Amino acid sequence: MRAALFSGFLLAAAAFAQSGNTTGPCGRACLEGFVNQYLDAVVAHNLASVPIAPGARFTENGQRLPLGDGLWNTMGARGKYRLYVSDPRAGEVVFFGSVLENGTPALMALRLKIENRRISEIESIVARGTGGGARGEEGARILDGIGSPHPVFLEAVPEAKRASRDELLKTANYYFSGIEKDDGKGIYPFTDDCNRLENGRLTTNKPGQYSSSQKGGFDLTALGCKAQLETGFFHFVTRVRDRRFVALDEERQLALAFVFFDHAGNAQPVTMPNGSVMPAGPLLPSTWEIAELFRIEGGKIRRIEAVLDACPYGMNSGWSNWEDGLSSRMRWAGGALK
Amino acid sequence: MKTKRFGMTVCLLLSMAGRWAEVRAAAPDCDRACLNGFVGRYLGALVAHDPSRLPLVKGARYTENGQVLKLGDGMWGVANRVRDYKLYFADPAAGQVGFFGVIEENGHPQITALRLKIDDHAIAGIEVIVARKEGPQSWPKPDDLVDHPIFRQPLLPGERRSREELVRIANSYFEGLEQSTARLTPFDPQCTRVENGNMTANNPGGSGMQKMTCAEQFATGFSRFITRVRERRFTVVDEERGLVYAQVFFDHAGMVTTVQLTNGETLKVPPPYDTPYTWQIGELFKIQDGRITRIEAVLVSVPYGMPSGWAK
Repeated sequence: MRAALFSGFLLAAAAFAQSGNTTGPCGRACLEGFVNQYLDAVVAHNLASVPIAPGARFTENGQRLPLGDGLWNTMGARGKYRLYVSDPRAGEVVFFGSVLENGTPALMALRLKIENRRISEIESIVARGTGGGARGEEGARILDGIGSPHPVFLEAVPEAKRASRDELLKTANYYFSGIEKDDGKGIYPFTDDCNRLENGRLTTNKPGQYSSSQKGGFDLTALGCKAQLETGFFHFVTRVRDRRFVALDEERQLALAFVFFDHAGNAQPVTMPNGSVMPAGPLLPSTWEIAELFRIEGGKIRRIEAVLDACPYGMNSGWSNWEDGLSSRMRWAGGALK
Repeated sequence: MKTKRFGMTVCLLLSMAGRWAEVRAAAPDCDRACLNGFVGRYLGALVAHDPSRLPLVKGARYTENGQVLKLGDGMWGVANRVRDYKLYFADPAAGQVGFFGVIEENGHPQITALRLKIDDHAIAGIEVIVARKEGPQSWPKPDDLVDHPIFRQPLLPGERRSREELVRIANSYFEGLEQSTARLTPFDPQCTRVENGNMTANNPGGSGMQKMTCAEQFATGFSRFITRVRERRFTVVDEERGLVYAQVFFDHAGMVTTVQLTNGETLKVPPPYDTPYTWQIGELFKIQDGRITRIEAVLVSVPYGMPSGWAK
């Protein structure tokens, strides 16, 4: 027993050594290092090998679990796809990537809050093959095939061209406000070449991605980001709620939010601009839990990438009170800035 | 670990026994007919999409598949018909009533479990599990649900047991699953089980495990991959009919990928149980002369580790 404890301390000490000083700012490399260290610890099923702050909170798919449960029990390896979003001022880092659970791929979004060189918050969405129509397993395979994130998510923007943090939030939030009860008349700030990837699948400018959207001769995914919203197609998304922006990568002009799309199931059919009548959308209450990343350029959204999974209708993130959880109000939830 | 778990179970049962004693002391002012009447009123208001028709206690709480929602949200927006299959169970002493039925949501039949808590002739709590037919692991068969009079029949005097004993027996089902043993659970040889309309025990037309009796299934030791049967809430005890309604979660942590069965065979745990996976369950037991004779359950797949929304 004593030997086991001792080796635990040694591992913990090694972990501290790996993440560098315990004081001073934790920049991009440091934040990404925490993600790698955390995932390595999950693979090794070894909590002691990563510096966790006392009282650290862990959620997986909106559920608070003891550290060591959930993916900690099943993850055997990391996949190839790795996308990081770092916010050194907030001490927040988000990762999109593929993982292997008992040999089966799954797609994950992971958020870590780093305080004093320790992990104080761990929030994750693991999109498995079991999540309704989300097809996380398939998404992980697609992204591993692509191999690396789209270059715009890695590209530094010259300082003079950067939008402020508030502007990044405002621009990204137009997407959520546009989707909620979409009437085709909102503010849709997208670049002409904007595209969106959801669980690995391109859902813009690529015909035939969703069979349900082809009903009535209408093919949603053939359209671009802006044109999709202008059709009013998303009228059935009755709430885009609990919009928690948790990381802003100022250098790369990225905004990352965790959010829920609710479909109450009672939306009526709508007539599209081409005269076709679109079905009402989901006829049953259903909800997507989503981690959504935006690249913003010149006040417009250029690219969106999301990890999503089905969850019970109306579910809370585990990080919001009930009122905020059901509110469509956008909010910064990444904590105080340094 | 087993000692610890046993100790926890004893504590749980003792604390529950205390609660039951309190329950018995209160004079029931809403009997079975009254409680069932609340279910009827609830269903009427639901399909009319009009919660204002309900007599509600201030601050009445509503959950649907574990989520706290405003009354009027969730299935209130889409439920438009209650089908004929109806199974009621009532606990006048506790002011609790349960109902299994099939409710159409925009025409889609959904197997639904409902529990109402009645205080002073008003609804104080509403807990719904609705097994929507969606996702790869849902297999509800609402059309296969048929009335079984046994759930309505009062027990003979010699077949009755105390509330505490009924709860203990129902809990032994969960304990037996969690500990992968048939030793703890008193099953009637004819015991059968229906889950979301599927007969999953003692089914002569079934295959494999479904053909076995309840006790035979437990005796195989198959359930090792059910790593936790948690948040076991026994909410409705219908003493007259020998019914116990429990709401629980079956967690499958995913790390048990093979199970050594008692007959020497090795069971390869199938997906999705080789990844973290949870069933939210409303489970009704018929207990006759101290033995479980019939089980009916409504199950829905939920995120691993999800709580019910009713635990303190």
